[in-house]
Amino acid sequence: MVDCMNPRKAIPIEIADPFARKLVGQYLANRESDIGRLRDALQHHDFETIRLSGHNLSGSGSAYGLDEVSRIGARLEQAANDRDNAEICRLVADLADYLRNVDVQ
Amino acid sequence: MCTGATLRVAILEDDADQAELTRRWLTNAEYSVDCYPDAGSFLRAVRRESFDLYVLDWVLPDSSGIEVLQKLRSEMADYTPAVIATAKNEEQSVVRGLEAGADDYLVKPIRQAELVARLAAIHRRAGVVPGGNQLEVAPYAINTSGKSLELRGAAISMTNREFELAYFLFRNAGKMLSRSHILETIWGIDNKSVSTRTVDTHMSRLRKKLGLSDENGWKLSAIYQHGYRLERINS
Repeated sequence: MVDCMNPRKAIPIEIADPFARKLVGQYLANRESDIGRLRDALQHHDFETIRLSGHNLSGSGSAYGLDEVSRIGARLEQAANDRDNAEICRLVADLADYLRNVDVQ
Repeated sequence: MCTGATLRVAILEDDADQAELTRRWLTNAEYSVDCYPDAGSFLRAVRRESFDLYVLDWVLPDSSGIEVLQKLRSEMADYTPAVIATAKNEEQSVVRGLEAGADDYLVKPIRQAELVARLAAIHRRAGVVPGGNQLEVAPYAINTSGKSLELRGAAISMTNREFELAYFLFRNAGKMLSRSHILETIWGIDNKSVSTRTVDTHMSRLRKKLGLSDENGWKLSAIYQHGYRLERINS
């Protein structure tokens, strides 16, 4: 069913090598589980967990061809350092949105 | 290595995805790769085994890559070339990593071709002697392009494998080389038919052929349950 309020904007990522495609798929699945952990950490004001997650995201995303993940990760790390709840909330939503829309082909 | 023998890399990285990706890149570049998720398992491994290169993450669950590097250099006298690979990109972090003993510093996200090129450059610096392809380890002289070895100017007749083994030993003089490291480097990692006894037999033969003894100022020692070490005897 199409959600007219939030139409899916597919972000195609083309990967020719089947093994690399599998690695990226695995990476994306692991990032999706990060979303729940980040929201939980935000609820508990666990900025250290958020900072480490952001740090890891910023250091890994582009290596998989997912520059947006690195960009969000770097900003998330900074937001955690600043203890900026609102910014963290926005960035986690951005990350969830990106992961929902990315389409590995 | 002059003939492109397999190089062995130990990666210290707690992020499983990052470790797997780096392993894939380096395996494709014909490295033999072992990954360790924390400082404890990495340090246990390097005490038991030997490697040609280390790639160390900075932020770890039980320590830091910097602390591991300091331990390697100062407590364990382990000067295996090491690269720090981290998302920390501030100047003071770079300085700290290099001052702790890293041979290079890579900021994540790492790029595949750059990683491979930098590791090759480090290894080249570790293996090349100024003046080209001659390694002088008196009274021996090793010519890597001609694959010849001389003792006091007299050529020693050797097979290709014996030459590779001798060059590997001299290039790593003073360092303990594990049997599995020697097997992977000289015989190739897929050669499961070669047993560690083959290493022992070749070492014994090489010791005699090269005259590694007090007279020539070099000693080849078997390290019980570990491997071998070639070292210069102080006169």
